[in-house]
Amino acid sequence: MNEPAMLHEEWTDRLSDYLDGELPPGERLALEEHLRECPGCRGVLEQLRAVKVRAAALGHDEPGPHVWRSIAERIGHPEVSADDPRDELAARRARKIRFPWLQAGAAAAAVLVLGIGIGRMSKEPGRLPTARVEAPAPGTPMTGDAYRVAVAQHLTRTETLLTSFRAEAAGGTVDASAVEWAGQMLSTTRLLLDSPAAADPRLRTLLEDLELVLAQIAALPTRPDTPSATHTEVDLARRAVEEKQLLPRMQTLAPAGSPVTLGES
Amino acid sequence: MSAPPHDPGADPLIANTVAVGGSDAALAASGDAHAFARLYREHAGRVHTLARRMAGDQDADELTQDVFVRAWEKLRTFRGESAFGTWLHRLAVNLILAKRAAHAKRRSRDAGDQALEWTPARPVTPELGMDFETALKRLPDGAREVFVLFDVEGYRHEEIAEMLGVSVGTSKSQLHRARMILREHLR
Repeated sequence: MNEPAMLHEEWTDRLSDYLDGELPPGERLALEEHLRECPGCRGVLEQLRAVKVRAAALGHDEPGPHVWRSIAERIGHPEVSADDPRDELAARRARKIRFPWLQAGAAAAAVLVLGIGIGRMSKEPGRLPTARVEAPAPGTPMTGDAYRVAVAQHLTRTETLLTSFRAEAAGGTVDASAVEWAGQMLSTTRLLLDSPAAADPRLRTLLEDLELVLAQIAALPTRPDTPSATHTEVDLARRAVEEKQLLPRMQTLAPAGSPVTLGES
Repeated sequence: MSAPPHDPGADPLIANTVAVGGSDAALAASGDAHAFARLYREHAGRVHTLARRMAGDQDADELTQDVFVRAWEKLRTFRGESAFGTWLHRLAVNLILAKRAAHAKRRSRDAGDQALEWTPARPVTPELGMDFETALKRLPDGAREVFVLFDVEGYRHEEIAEMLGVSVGTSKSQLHRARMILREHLR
């Protein structure tokens, strides 16, 4: 009674070698003959095969960011990041949309940096001036100077937009790119308004008026079958620019792109 | 029997297979830390997971750091006769094994390692990846090392025997032992 059990165990012990192709030909044939007669060994073999398959399918996990930081320190290059630039780009885009540092009331830890490239109003369809707004690393202290520079750049860009818009609107039509640009400027205007540094009443009023006008322009229809906004809608937006005296107010607050003077008058 | 400690840098297999395979490896070998960061990004997951399975969760981060720091130090010996990943992985295995005694002691102290006497918990299905990982973690050290190196990482018994300082027969029997335990967790 013991012999069959012992033999069975010997066969079982060879199942992994059989599975891995490690058995010599003679032993392999003998085992295969045994397998035909032994459902128990066939069952174990299938279980071992399942383990092998499962092991091969195991995935990898990624270490936390602190691991690279420690490595970078130890190799003498703490300034080098292991972040994928593509991830960083995606993160920047996400920040442009969500601006969580403002929504969370942590605006004091942020600085708005408006893109330097102040573009002109393009006449080429699809070619818009950059309206880049980036968030610095969390914890960056908000400074009055940084805010003033950001506002001045924004006002200069908006002035360029409104000047071009006013000229085009006089002819009764507006290029679709101006409408798109106004939408971008609208977002930046809201950001500047949301900042706690926007305490100056003159600036707040100007930004609020700008927001309304930019919203009007951004809402002008730009469907392909209606390349130009209707005369009435364009005229309403143009009149809003004039009635609110936006251009002279912007020039007064930020002459020739200089940093705005806040709370000093 | 415990394996003799391995110094990855002194390992003749490593010395014979180091290779500047890709441009990032070549750049990193010349001291370009940004290129090295890219290599890290590409290979860190595999190294970290290997360290976790071989040495345990608590030591995986530290071992991963050690592996990449050692790789940075040894990159100049990388001669381009194999892929950087192959070289790095072998270096990682050797370094992890070299430090396993200290890590095994910590694992034993922290978890009261009763590898074979662990109690099967609830029924485990093949779909529950973490349960399989948990079962793997609880294997006896020798069986776990061979299982990870053979079934997960794809090394041959001859290579494993050399790395672990055991015979090929021992490597095979440890693998079978590991599989026989783990099969219970696929039922």
